[in-house]
Amino acid sequence: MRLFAAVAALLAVTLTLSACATPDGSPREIRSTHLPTILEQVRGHPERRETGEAACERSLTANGSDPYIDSFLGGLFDVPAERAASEFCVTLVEAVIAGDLTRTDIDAFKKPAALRGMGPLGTLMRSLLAAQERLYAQQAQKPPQAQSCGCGQ
Amino acid sequence: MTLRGQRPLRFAVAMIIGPSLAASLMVAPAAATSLEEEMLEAVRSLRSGTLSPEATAENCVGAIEDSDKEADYRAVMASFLDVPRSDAIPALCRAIIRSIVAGTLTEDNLAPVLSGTPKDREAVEAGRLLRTVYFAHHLGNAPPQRPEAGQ
Repeated sequence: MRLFAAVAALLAVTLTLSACATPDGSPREIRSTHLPTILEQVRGHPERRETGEAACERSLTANGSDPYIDSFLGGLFDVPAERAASEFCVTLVEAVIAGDLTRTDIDAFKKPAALRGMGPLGTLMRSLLAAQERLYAQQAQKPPQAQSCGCGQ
Repeated sequence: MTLRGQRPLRFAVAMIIGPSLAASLMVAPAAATSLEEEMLEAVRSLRSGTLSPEATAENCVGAIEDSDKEADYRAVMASFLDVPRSDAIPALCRAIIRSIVAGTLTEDNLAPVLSGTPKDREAVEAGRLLRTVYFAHHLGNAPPQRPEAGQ
């Protein structure tokens, strides 16, 4: 339970506080460090996937890293801990664009843990793993010269 | 060999929640090693075929349902595994045991989660445990690997 509580707390902070929202940039850029805002922008504009991933990473950086959570996410995604935040953002953006994570799913993390319950955390982890699996499959189908996309790297 | 008549293993519970609950299950600190050892012995027995997966799954479900955190486990696993709440705990237990039997969850993976040490390994292996459970449940096999660039 301690682990779930720690992860849920981190994600709740990440998805709600995410430093102070900053003014958004031009229509093709995402400059916000407020993660829910970032996710809403990529939901409405899937073509901003890459800038959304970068903005997500900036948002996580702004909140500071937690080695324990990075290690946990590294295990969850099967990547080194130093790549965990990047993989988290790549899969989070993919899950949002694919419609696996709805605004309601994201907004659930704005609620206090006691009200939110554990269900949203399971939905989030499932959506992230499904997103990673989908991205791996897409990557494997690309010709070799097109595989240096750096997804999560 | 089955779990019936044995001391409850509760290993699935402890695998998921780590040392905090494992410690709470013990009467005295000295029992910590024995519980961890007992769980790891169960893993070895499952792998060697001397322990019945079906009986172990049954015991796993019973142990989790007896936990005071049962509602939380059920909620998170129902959404994580995308199953009705009534099947959440059985699905979790089936996935764990299938992974142990298949060798995708090993003693090396589980020991840090059970003991809670070292902390970085505990966190990595807890994440890996959930990953393994997810793919064992959804795909029935090992997690996919990242495609190698240039292949």
